[in-house]
Amino acid sequence: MTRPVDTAAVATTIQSYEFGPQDFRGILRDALEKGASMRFATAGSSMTPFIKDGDVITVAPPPPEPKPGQIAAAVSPANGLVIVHRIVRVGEDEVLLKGDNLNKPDGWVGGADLLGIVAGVERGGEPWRLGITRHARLVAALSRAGLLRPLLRLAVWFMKR
Amino acid sequence: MKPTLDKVYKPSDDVVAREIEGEIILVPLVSGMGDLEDELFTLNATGMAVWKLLDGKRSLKAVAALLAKQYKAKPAVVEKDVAELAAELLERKMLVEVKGRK
Repeated sequence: MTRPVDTAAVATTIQSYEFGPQDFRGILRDALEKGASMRFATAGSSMTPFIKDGDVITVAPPPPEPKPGQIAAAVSPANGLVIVHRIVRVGEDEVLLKGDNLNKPDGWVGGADLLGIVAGVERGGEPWRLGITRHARLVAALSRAGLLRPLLRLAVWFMKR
Repeated sequence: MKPTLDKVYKPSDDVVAREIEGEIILVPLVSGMGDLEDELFTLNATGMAVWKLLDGKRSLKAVAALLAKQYKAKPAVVEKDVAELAAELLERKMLVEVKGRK
């Protein structure tokens, strides 16, 4: 005699999901390896003011030749988490990443750990281009030289006066 | 789209699936874009079992037979449940038919 069992197979729509760091990295990697882009909200202040906490970014698969100034999504050499930081130097097969708002670079990242490149930033539902497509190389040069943070602080000081 | 029990299906390339803490999260890639700020999908335990068996080799009927045995349930009931899930996944383009396999 068969036992009555609920065998209903159900797909449920969910409006949001809080991914853990490893699962987020896996989802992002899987999508980008399929050639797709991924859109998601950022967290943190390491790229302020060009990418702020809560901005929504679109990450596309990495181009064959990444360029200084582009912002990459990558696996952090320090802790394996996904970081979204700027390319400040390009090596033969690797790129040097640095958060605009950080003092030190993250280190060199290459191969499969370079997940993708930021193709768009939305802030408050509107496209945001400053430091992303506009002046990105200049921002990278200033960041590499250690001048970006002092200049940004100076700019904030002037704006508050 | 209505699935056919004799046909073979597999997960579409236009979906990213991740098993997290006993459930499967499905992220559709619509027009080459996955959007974590938009709707995602999750499958219940039976749905997850079906998803894992949809490997592009087994027909829906074979999937249902395996589950019916596993759950000690009536094959006809499981076939209906499997077909309903397949229909929903096909509708959302998360499942594709594997042509030439029966």
